[in-house]
Amino acid sequence: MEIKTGEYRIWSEESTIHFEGTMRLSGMEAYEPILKLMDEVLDQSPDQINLNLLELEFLNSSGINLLARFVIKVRKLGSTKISVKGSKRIPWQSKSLPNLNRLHPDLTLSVV
Amino acid sequence: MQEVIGNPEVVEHKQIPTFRLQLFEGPLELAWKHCDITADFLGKLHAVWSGQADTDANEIRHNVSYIINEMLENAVKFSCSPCVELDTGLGHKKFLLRIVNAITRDSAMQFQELLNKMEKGDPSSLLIERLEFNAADPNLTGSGLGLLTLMSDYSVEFFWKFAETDDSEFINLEAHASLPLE
Repeated sequence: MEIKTGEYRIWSEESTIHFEGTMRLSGMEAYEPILKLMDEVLDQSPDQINLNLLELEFLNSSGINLLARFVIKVRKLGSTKISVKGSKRIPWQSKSLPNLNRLHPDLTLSVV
Repeated sequence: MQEVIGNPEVVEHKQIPTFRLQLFEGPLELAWKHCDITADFLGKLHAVWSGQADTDANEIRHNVSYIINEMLENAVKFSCSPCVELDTGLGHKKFLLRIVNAITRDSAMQFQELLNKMEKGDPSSLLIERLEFNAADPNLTGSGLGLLTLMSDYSVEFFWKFAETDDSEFINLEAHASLPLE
């Protein structure tokens, strides 16, 4: 599964979802196809889902809403673990990703 | 109508203006693209002007880009004026931003209600609360999420001025923001 535009690319490999580029879409409606891709991975009931954000340079607050919504869904499901990998090179990740841990304390967050 | 909300100190210090830009109205899809391009450009420009070394310059570029994009997206979404005006400047260890546009009186009233709630609460708790609300109801989006991320994750301070215009239906909104650069 892959979504690719001139600005960003999202694709899944087994239970890892990779994000790269700049995602500044105009609200949740615009993010729906991406959430659908993420849900399709979750629907396969993997033991663990990994979000790889190492190459996601920019994300707007609607995109943060997307990540939060997915993480809360995983938390409520209870049967799948989730890990999020980010990069210290990309300032928004150090600043905003810890919020995902506050929403889901069992989430494994690594910003390296 | 309330005339000001927020921290007046945001506009009290001397701003060193470095840039002025006017974005003219157009289709939302194009205007949205303008936000991204403008944010990207001004992020790079202020990183260079800051005269900081690589790591700090990268931080400034990304943080300035984030705040401009969020503030412009808000302005573009609600603006009723033919253009959105943007001033930026570097203060002492601060990036300063002023955005001016006109919005409807109804939008202004709703926005004031939201801002007053944010002023009274802890931004970090309000952010988590908002993310939980939005997840519980997929029809809910936004509602100040961008401003809350700026206040909670970037320690941005705001000052908002609301002024009557010649047309009683519209209110002139002046948004001032101060982003710490360390």
